[in-house]
Amino acid sequence: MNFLSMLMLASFTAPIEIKTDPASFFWLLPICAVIACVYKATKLKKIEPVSFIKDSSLLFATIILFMAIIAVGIYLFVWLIVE
Amino acid sequence: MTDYKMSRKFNTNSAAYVPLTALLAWLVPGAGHLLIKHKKRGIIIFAAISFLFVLGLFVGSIAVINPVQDKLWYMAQILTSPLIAIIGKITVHGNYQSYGKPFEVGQIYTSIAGLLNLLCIINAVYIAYTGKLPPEPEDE
Repeated sequence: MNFLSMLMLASFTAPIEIKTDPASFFWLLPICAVIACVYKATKLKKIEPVSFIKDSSLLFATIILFMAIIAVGIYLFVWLIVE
Repeated sequence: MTDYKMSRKFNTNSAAYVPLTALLAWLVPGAGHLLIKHKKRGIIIFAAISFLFVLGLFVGSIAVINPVQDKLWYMAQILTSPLIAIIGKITVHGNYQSYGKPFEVGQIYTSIAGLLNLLCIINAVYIAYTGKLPPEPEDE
């Protein structure tokens, strides 16, 4: 096994560092993008690059937007209780 | 020839066609769609699910796959492929540690990859069995 293969395998045996700060919410983006792509890949009648990218992006944006709206709603709810 | 017509032609060939599609779709994400000649779908599914799963392993390490301590998560993870059992065996016998946020992110990524593959397996089986795509919500 060469050095590069060993280095690649080693990177899967120890976790990376993720801080518990607001920036860690960005880890939400890859999973939402993959969900949008896979869902559209199973739903679209014909897979054309332009329409697929357009539809997936729209779904991705919708997921993020509604999660943001829910987050704001929960924040306001907590704020009303606490204040 | 459209994807629809091709899959319908294959549909009448063999009784093992549908189970084989399901098995292949589980073995390698997207392979079921490749078998029923939905090449583009298969490639997208393979790329997306593999990316999410490998990213999950990279973030949380292989310790996120643990068939002994995290049985429910493991049930979702193994839906990605039965080959995940090999990683599970390595994790159980090795001393791999992962805690906190990276563990959570890795576990969620790998489990969602498995659940997405379940969606794709069902989709591939539906197409193989009926010869057409599932109806979209507005078609129903």
